[in-house]
Amino acid sequence: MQRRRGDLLDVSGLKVVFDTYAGQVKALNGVELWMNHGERLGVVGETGCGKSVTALSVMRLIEEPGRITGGSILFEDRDLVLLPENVLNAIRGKDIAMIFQEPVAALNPVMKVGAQIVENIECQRKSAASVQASRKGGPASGNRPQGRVGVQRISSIQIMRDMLSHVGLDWQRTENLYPHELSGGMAQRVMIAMALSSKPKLLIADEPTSALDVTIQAQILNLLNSLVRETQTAVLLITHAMGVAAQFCDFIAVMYAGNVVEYGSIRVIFNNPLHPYTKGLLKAVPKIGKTDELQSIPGIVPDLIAPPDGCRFHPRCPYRRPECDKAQPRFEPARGEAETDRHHVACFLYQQDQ
Amino acid sequence: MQATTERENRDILIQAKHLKKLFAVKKNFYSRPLYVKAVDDCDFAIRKNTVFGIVGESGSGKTTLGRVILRLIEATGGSVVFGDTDLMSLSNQELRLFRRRMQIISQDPYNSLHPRKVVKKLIGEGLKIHFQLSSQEIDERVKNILTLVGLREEHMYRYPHEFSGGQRQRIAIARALVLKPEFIVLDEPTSALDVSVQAIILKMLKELKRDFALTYMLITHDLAVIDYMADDVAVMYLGQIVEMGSKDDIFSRTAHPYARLLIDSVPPPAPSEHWSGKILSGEIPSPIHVPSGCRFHPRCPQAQEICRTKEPVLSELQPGHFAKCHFPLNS
Repeated sequence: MQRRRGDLLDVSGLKVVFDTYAGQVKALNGVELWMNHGERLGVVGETGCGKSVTALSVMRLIEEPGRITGGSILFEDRDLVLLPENVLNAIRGKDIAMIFQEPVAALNPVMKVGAQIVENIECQRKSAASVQASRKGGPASGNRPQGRVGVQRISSIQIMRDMLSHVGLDWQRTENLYPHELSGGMAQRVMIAMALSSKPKLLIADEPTSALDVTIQAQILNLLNSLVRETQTAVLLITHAMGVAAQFCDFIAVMYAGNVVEYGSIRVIFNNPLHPYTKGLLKAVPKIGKTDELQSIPGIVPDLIAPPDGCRFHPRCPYRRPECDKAQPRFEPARGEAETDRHHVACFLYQQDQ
Repeated sequence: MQATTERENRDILIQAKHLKKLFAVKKNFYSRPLYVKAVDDCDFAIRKNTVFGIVGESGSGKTTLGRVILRLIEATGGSVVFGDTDLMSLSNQELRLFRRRMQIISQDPYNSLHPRKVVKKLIGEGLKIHFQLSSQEIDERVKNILTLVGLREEHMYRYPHEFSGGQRQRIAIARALVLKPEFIVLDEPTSALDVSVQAIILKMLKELKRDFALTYMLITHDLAVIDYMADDVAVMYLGQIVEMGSKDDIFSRTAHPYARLLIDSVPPPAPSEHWSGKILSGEIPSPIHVPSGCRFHPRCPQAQEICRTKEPVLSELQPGHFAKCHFPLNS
């Protein structure tokens, strides 16, 4: 067992496969990433590289036909891969909360917004109580006086109203609306209110602004920024927009075809990228004010049913070497850089013992 | 409006005047219709062999404008002159023949290609209608155009579902290009694609424009794409053009507060660049009940009393640079 890398989350060697009729899709092939309390990690990459599967794995929300086949997800002192479902339920939504790309689709369409948030708060309370009770060895709420339920409900409603005003919504108006009556920006605010109502230690945001206009995106990013700074919540931000990652995150993990190919602080990833894929990706992003020629990455993303041998990027790589199609490169610290940058790369160009 | 009449007419391909499109909506069968002002009094000119970019938030009327220009949607009012032909006066039959000269490439390459037609049929259909070619000639031209957009001959007999998003967009480009058009409306051509694929497609569109002397109208919400591709830019808000000018006018000498805030809200993809984080508050209002006076005043940080009551006109600040604001910036 290697030494612990992040005190909040440490994912190592994570493998996930999906069994389909066409064959086994090897979606994650040994993902490595970690973060400390209060940090913000961005996971970037193109469609199909495994960003969302990584996020869902951390919540243990991978469903049939998918399964986790290897690796560990250490969250504080527990390995989420090994925990039973009832213990997980006490962690989901309480210690780890999640917001999604399509906020309107993620909300229950036949339930008023306020009631949904209250339900969420009550659920967490119940599952926390049941875990506590099972630890003590007694029934969950057997000898609790009836009156307290009402008191708790009122306090849940109070929390819901506080959260709605916290995310910049007028609770008197919003709590009685149905999700279809909300705009995309408002719905994402509701999702944020719901996610943060339990004061999670880790917030997973899966493309939270991709469906929104740039002006609304800026509003939502600013809101998230101030809320998580206030509460010292760590954020795992999944995005394909390099601009969003650059402005919001402290660290970045670049994914390609089911692997984290490079990891480090935003400073090293943007100013001193090592992996050929990271370099190509950064040169393909158009920037306002810099209209020099865009560079593209030749070739296409591989089929994950029959991924290339060795390094999965080698068929598209301009710096390919003979060993690249034989073995998978190790994920190693980059040489000669400050430890605080945590710069790691999985590429034979930088491996030392060859 | 004299927005465009003063300019040289010779190098202008498309001239739109007082273009208007209203959509009627009814709450129920008996109620009086209300009107969505999707495009409201737009004047502009597109110069030959340039890229005219249109940018704005969703719901600003960009896509409707692109379709009205091509008469894919009939305009409620106004005129579009293409070269020296008044498009609005063409009969359906004349318009059909005219369509060869103006094409559209739409956003979603998954829905814009017929799923049960092979590539040869998709691309060759226009050739059949417009040029009455023999089957061999069609074959020949389809092959040529496929290599031109970076696909191979053997792709001719495949169906759209066998291609990736980037390849489908190449097919859509080939389909538009095979008719040798003069003008192409690009409606969010790369919004559904990943950045590395976007880079390839944008580069290719630029090269094709140069090689075939094309004129583009590029509709997108992505300001970086506009900056990379466009020569002239129009910024739309609630169905109206609020600022228009050369790319440098819009990005370096921004005059309209909306355009400024739109540009500032894009996070730069480099951590060293400080993101001003200036935020445009509120959301785009309903295009049915548009605000009085200047349509942007409820969200505008500079709004004054006059903005609430009097609608500004699109006036020329410098030659070729127009803004619709009582208090333009940088002046």
